[in-house]
Amino acid sequence: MNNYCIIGILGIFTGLSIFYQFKDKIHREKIQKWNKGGLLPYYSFFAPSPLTSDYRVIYRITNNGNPADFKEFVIHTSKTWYQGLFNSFKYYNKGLIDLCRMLPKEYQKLEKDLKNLIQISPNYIGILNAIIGTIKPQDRYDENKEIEFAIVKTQDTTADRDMSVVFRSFKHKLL
Amino acid sequence: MDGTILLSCYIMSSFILLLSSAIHSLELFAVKSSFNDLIYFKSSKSSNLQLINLYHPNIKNGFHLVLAILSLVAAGLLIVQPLSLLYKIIFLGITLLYFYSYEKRNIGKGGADQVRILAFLSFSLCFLASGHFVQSLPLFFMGVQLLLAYSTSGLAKLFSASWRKGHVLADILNTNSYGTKSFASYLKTHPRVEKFCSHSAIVAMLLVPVAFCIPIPELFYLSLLGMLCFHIATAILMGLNDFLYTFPLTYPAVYYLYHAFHHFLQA
Repeated sequence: MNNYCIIGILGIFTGLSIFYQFKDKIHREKIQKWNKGGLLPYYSFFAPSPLTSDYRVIYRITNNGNPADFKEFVIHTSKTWYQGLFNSFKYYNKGLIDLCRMLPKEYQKLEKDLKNLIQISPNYIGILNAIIGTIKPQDRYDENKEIEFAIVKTQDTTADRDMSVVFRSFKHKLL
Repeated sequence: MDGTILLSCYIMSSFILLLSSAIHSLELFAVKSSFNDLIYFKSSKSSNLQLINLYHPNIKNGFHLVLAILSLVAAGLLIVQPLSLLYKIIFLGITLLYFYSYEKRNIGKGGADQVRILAFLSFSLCFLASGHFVQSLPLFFMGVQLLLAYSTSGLAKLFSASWRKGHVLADILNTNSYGTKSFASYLKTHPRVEKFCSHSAIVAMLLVPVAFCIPIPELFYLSLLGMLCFHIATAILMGLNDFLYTFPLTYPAVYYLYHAFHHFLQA
């Protein structure tokens, strides 16, 4: 009996996995409702549109209304010879890419007079928290200081690379 | 098929899975705390797992270290006493902890994470089965998942105009996120090599499901070797080593599935 139950569970899951691979949005959204915990896999691997540009997050602190220059929230590190064996960078790199990809989409979906609701988006808060976490304590907890960030898409790794701002945040008190 | 082959495939697959889990946990253990918000961001989805917070900043690193050690202990136990009660208990514990970690990491997950969680869940579920099904069912399941993964990925690339034209690799490798600048520059100046590499990736992925249907085992092994080379290349050039550690766990599974499938057709 156990064997048949397990065959049934694995069989149904396999069927749903096959169905889930189709890029048909209607069917995928229907299945998505049942995809608790994100267990159904989607194996596209850099296709059909691979990532050919970098997302960078820049931020600046305004003190008493005087804005400082934008700084980059640096996550990229120089390549190591052992990254093919051991590589922690890929986790927060992919995390940042996902946040930076989703946030402008969320912002676009919001109606014009509800745009400020983006501030309660987990993607927004995730980026903001990550930036604030890197600011020294002596530069924080000052009600005269405010922080804002922007997501910049860059192509190429050279100094004269193409850049475009894809999202700009609201200002927040650094408390 | 011979029971010894089944057991060997099962042990190899489980061993690679546990090794992959250990490396993955050690990598997460090594992530600087300042980047935690980019991996474990707080969404409403995670609220169902708030009862016990093993990801509290003070114990998160310990959690990953425990998971890595447990994975290594289970891998050792698998060699000494395969499928013993102690092994099963530890394996189930790892599955629970890994599932918890998988749910907590609600961003930045990739294909390798998905394959690993499916392997853990299917191997654990099949402990409830009896007879040879304990070993054969998870192998069949993971074998099909591999065929699905390579078919989807290969077809998605085949239907993508940029992949077909063959000038996509230099752009991918020219990013800070996944790049190797020297190789990207080389590909930019050698478009034919770039085209060859792009098309090779498509052919290598699609060859696996095609060769699976053809009763020439050597061709099938060659197709898997081709994909293993592809994973080695992406690990070295793009830093995506997770695929290199995770996908080979399905190779013994798909080997077993291949022989069972053709044995069934001949019978």
